[in-house]
Amino acid sequence: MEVTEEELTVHKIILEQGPIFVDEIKIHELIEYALPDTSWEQLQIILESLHSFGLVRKRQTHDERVLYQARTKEIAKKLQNLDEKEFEIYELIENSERKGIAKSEIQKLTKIVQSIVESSLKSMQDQQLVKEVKPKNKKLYMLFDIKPADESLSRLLYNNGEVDILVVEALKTLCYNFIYHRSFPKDMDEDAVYYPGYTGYPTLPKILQCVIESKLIAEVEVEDADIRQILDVLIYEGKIIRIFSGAIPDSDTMDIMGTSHGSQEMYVARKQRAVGNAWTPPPCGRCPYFKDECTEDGEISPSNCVFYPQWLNRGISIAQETNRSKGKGKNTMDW
Amino acid sequence: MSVTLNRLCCYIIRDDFGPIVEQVAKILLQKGRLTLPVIAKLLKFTLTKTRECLFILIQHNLVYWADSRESQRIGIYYSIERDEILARLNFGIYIKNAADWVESRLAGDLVKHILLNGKVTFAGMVEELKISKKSSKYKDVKESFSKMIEKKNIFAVDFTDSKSARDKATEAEQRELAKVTNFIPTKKQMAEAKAKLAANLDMDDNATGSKRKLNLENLDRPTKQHKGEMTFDENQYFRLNYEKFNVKERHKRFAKFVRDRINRSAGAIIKYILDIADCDKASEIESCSISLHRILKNIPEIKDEMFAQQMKTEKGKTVSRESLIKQYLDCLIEDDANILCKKDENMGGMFFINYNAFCESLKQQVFENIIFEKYGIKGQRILKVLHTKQKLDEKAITAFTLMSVTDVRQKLVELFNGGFVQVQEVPRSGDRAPSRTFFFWYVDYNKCYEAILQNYYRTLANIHQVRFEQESGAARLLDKKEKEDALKQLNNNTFIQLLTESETKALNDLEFILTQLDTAQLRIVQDIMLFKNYK
Repeated sequence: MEVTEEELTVHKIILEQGPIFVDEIKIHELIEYALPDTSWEQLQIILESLHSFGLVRKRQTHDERVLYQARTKEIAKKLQNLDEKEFEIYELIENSERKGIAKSEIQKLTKIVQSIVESSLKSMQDQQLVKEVKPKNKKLYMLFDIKPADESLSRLLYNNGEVDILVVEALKTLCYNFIYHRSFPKDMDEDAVYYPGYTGYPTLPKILQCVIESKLIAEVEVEDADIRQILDVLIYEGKIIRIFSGAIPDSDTMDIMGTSHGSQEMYVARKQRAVGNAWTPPPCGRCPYFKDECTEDGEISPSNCVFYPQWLNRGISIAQETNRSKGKGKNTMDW
Repeated sequence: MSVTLNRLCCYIIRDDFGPIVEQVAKILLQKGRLTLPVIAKLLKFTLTKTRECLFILIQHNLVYWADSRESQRIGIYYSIERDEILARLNFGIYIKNAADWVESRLAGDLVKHILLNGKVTFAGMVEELKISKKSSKYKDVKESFSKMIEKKNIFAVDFTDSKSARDKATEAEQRELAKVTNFIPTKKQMAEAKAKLAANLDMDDNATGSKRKLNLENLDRPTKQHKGEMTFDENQYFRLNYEKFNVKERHKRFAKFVRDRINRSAGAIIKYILDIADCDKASEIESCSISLHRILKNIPEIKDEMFAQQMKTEKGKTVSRESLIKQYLDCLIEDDANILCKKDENMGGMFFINYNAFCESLKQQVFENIIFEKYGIKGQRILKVLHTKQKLDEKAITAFTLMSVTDVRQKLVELFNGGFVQVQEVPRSGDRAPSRTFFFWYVDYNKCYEAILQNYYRTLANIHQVRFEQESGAARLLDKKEKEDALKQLNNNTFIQLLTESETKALNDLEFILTQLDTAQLRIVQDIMLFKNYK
């Protein structure tokens, strides 16, 4: 049996709704334009047929509404080749969505023997229907084209569930240098800044492109979400800020990746002149005994402090060096 | 808090007035209000000596008196004001910047003289500085003095200003209540009396801490003033208005901050705007609205070249002076440090500065710098994440900061021990077992600022202690140096040398050490002013 044109039209309409699950009442409203005079019963038959071909997923809510989500034709074609048990395993993995599911959990829920589960998983991995991810020595399975919810499963920034510090630091340096060199005008005073409303600052796609072109990371795909995490870390360190050109977006206009429609997100570097503080230069600011042990006339006190003489002597030697270097020049006898 | 502050106050008094006056101050700080005989008894001083010490402290606006009727006797109690003592830390800043802030060449000397004496009369000052009334310098000094009165850099004080503010308020309240009833007043009557007093108080808040109206009759000051001429009573006592100078220091800090954050041109523009605003009190939340036209008028055209060199305009477009400055103003408005705000579009744009918000931004920057210096970039990352995202558990912090769990844990413990982060426990079960409890970390910046202020006071006290140690260690050398200088002056002979080469070197080293300690002290004092909101 083949998929009819009407069924393909309904499938296309559901696919256009994106990755969300759509209510059957909403589907009935949506198909009114494309397929007028389609009754409720006819729609039910079409949806059942699409479900049997694997073109839609079905889910029932607690208030007995049925929701549908479209699958792509390529995936549906691959699902046709799966047997009943494999399909059951596939549906379990699909329902786990971005969390993933362990093999033991699959066995427990399906009550299928281990060997069949393993062979099914292998076969689905070969067909690129599912993939294996491995946070902290635990194997999880999820759909092939889905991004993990748990950030620890990002392949670029994490290694065996732990943050890969070297990769993070390298990416931070690369991104920061890229942003810094595009944040201030060249061929002008060193203090020059761009006019307000300037839109030439680096954006996330440009930064991503720079990272890809630098070939700093080999063998692993660099994704938007990874670079965004790196840029967030730079923001927390106070090295860059995020600005928006146009209207400041709110949660309605922001999409899943946090970018906004209608305004552009840009990154600007901060000048490296930090606001100083007066507490940490003297020894007290860094002394481990400052808070509890050091008292006015106790065993540890400023009078018998070992750090103050070191700090003061260092100051003397710096001052003497400065005086000596000032002495050299035109006004001395050294010609 | 009070132990550290008392210690610091005692060091300040010792530095300025010596160890004997310090003991009197110490006893008042520890015990509160005391009478003269009690102070003398506790210190084992004679009454005369105690009275002289108290006189010095009253003269310098540090001690206030209050009389209290006890049956047929009137007891006079003395109390010390900690804030006044701490204000003495800022004197160096006031003297250094007086000439710029008052816009008078002689202001520095005048301010120094006033601060050295606590309260002065113009006549007394002229006599002490040996200025002849016929000399041109007398005219300049008088003009500077008038200018300082006009700009409220100094204000008149009289005998009653040395009375404790709290007692004056209590007496005023009792007078009001006496008008209403002869019996014990009710709660409602007391509240009404307080409200009436508060409404009657003049808004001229002065540094004695008491809100009072200038009673011009008592001051014998002529009230009629011709335009351009400021007359004042030469025998009237005046003291410095610390608040006005604190505000000037605040503005200087704001301008420096903008200069470092954006560029020199933006710093210059904000300086001109702050000068136009000319705020009097540190407690004002925001400045008056200033029009674009007024800002343009006050910025000299000589600066236009620098402004043009430091702002990259749109390609191919030449901008007028007005547009260029407007672009800088837009830059200041867009900055996330709340530097400048726009009220509306009238007259080209009305702008104002929210002092509180600007101060908060500055405090935040200083605080984050402290965290960076003390706990490293990782500590700063964690703090910013907690400030942005509010309460988070360890796992979430690890995910946001891209640090390993061990690093996060270590830094959180260090920040917790420093008093900068706190923990909120949320138990999942009734028995509050740690294994079934969520631990959320969070940061409260206001608490952190208090902790930092405490640390500053403590460090300042430590620096004072180190300085005293250094000076007492070199006391013999300092005495010898003094003798040498005295001999040189007496005999008019610069070749007299009592100190050996090694002693001279030791004295030079001591000078470097004291300069270094003074520099550290000055920087700490500037930060303390910021964290106290310049009050």
